Amino acid sequence: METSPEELVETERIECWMREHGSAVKGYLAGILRQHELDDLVQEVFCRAWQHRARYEERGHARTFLLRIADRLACDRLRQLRQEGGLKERLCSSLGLGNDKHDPAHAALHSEAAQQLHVALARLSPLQRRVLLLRYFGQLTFEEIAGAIDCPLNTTLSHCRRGLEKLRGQLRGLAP
Amino acid sequence: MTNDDLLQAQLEQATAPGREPAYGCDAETRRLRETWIALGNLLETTSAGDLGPAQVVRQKASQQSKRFSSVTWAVAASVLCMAALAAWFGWNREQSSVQSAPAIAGTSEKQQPSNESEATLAIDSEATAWDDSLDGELLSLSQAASSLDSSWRTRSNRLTAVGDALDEIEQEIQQGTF
Repeated sequence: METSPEELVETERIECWMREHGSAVKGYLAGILRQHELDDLVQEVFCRAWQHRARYEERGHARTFLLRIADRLACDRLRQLRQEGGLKERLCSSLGLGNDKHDPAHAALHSEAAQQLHVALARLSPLQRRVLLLRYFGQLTFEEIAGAIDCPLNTTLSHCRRGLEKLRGQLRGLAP
Repeated sequence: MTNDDLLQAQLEQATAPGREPAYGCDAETRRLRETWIALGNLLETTSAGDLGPAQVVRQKASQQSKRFSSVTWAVAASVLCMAALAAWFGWNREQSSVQSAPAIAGTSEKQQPSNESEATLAIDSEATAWDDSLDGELLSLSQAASSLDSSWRTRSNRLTAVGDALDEIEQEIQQGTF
């Protein structure tokens, strides 16, 4: 099957997006999911971007478009992890086993900075985390963030402020 | 201006892109800004290089090198096949000449002693005569092998060039000159 010129242009665009926004998408996903083995999810984001490229034409900003997709996928993955976590916990308690401290996700957090970030982000609620990370990685406006997380603007602003206040003590000394 | 508008303005200042501290703002905005910068530093430290352009290009380069190695294996396999075929044809020919030797001996024993040398010579020449059909077959086979080999070489050269170009791009991206 031959590739049409339009498809080639689209493919080049997606490749360009991967170069320009790949690290932001991965950073966002890592922040939300607090995991580092995310290559499959990053690829899924770009696959979805390719499938829904017609919607991008309507909306405009590539990074916003990609981070919205990443946000939805991250929420799905979180839900799935929670279900799996609950199941694992029930299974462990029924078998009389403790929680596995040597989880690959824990092992991945090898560096001090990653550990510090992990602890800091763990203090935030999922919505606070999403607001702050969408703002950081996507540089989305608060109206866009409100649209992405399906919250009213004033609630979004509150999440942002409370999130920053929670982080204040945790991250003291890291500012220049 | 409502409280929400004030909060939005404050947060927009505090979470603006860049690393500049919020000079000329109230103490609360400055504190939020410091926290934001600290978070940014941490996120940058931990996510830098995770999936930058270099890694994307590296993935492509590894795909190309995988293709290149499969082509190399295919060329090596085809050359081995050709060598095996050539050896088989050669061995077949040798076998046919070895089998004809006892036949020559048997025939010459039955013949008259006076005709012995002539008959042996005739059969010898028959046994060692070159089979033209086999020659043609070998020729066409070797031509096919050489054309296959040259086409594989052309393809592998192209892939090498693509791989080199990707390596250069990767280096440029790593050096920040891309």
